[in-house]
Amino acid sequence: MSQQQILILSRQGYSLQADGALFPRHWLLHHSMRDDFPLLDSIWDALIDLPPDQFPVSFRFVDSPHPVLIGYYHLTVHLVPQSPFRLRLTIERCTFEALRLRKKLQLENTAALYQQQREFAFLH
Amino acid sequence: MVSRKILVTGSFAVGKTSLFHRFVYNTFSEQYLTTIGVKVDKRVVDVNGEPLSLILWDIAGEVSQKKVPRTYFLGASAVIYVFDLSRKQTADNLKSDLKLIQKILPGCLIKVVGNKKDLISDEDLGILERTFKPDFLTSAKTGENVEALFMDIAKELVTY
Repeated sequence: MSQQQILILSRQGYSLQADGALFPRHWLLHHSMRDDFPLLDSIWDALIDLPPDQFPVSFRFVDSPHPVLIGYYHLTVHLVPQSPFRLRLTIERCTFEALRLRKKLQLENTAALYQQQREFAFLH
Repeated sequence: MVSRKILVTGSFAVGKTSLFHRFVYNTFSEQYLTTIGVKVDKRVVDVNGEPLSLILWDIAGEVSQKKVPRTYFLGASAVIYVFDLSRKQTADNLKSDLKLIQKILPGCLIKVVGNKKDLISDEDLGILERTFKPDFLTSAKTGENVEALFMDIAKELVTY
C-alpha cells in the first residue's frame, strides 16, 4: 500500500485530483482535507494569503486525530504553478518513523528531566 | 463559528500536553510521554453567549524557540509559553523566546504560564513569581487555573 498521497486542492480545500493510494479513492472525490486534518483547517486562511515565495509549507509528524487516519503524517503544501487558485498537498504516512523518533526522544528527555530535577533540588 | 488558533509551546516536559489534555478532555496522566511533531484539537467555549472554537496546537518541546519550525506559528492568534515551576532551567530562555515570538507574530497575544504549581512550596512560588512574572500559575494535574487560563485567552481573542 502506498505511503503517500498527492492531492490537488481547490481554494476551499476540496480534492480535485488525487495520485497515490493512501486513502480510498471514493473518499477523495469532492472531499475536504480541511475536515480530515484540523491542522490544515486551522491555518487555511493564512495559507491562502501566504506570499508565493513562502511556499512550500511543511509540517512534519502531524498526529492525526481522525478515527480512520490514525497515525502520523508529513504534510507539505505547494502552490500549483500557473494555477494560483490551486494547492498541491502531499500527505506522507510516517507512523513507524514517528514511533522510533519518539522512543529516542523519550529516553533523551527523560534523562535530561531527571538531571534538571536533581540540579534544582541541589540548589535548595 | 469564529475560530482561533492557539499555539502551546515551551521546553520539553513542562506540561504542554497535560494542559492541552486537561482543557480539551479534562484528563490527566502521571506518565510522561514525549510529544513529537504536532497535535491539533479543539474545544468550543462560550464567550458572552457566543460560541468560539479554540484550536489548540500542542507541539514538541524545544529548549529554545529558535528550534520551533516557523510554520507552526502560521495563523496563530495566541501563544501560550509554558515553563515548569519545578525546573527553573525551563525558563532560562524566557526573555529571548518571547522576543522571538513577538518578532514572528507581531501583536500576537502571548501568555506566560508557570505549570506544575502542585510541586512547589508557597515560598518558592513567591520567588519564581517575582523572578519570571508569569501571567498564570497552573497545575494540569489538579486542574487549578487551567480553565481560567483558556477562558481569559478566549475573552481577549473575541475582541482581538
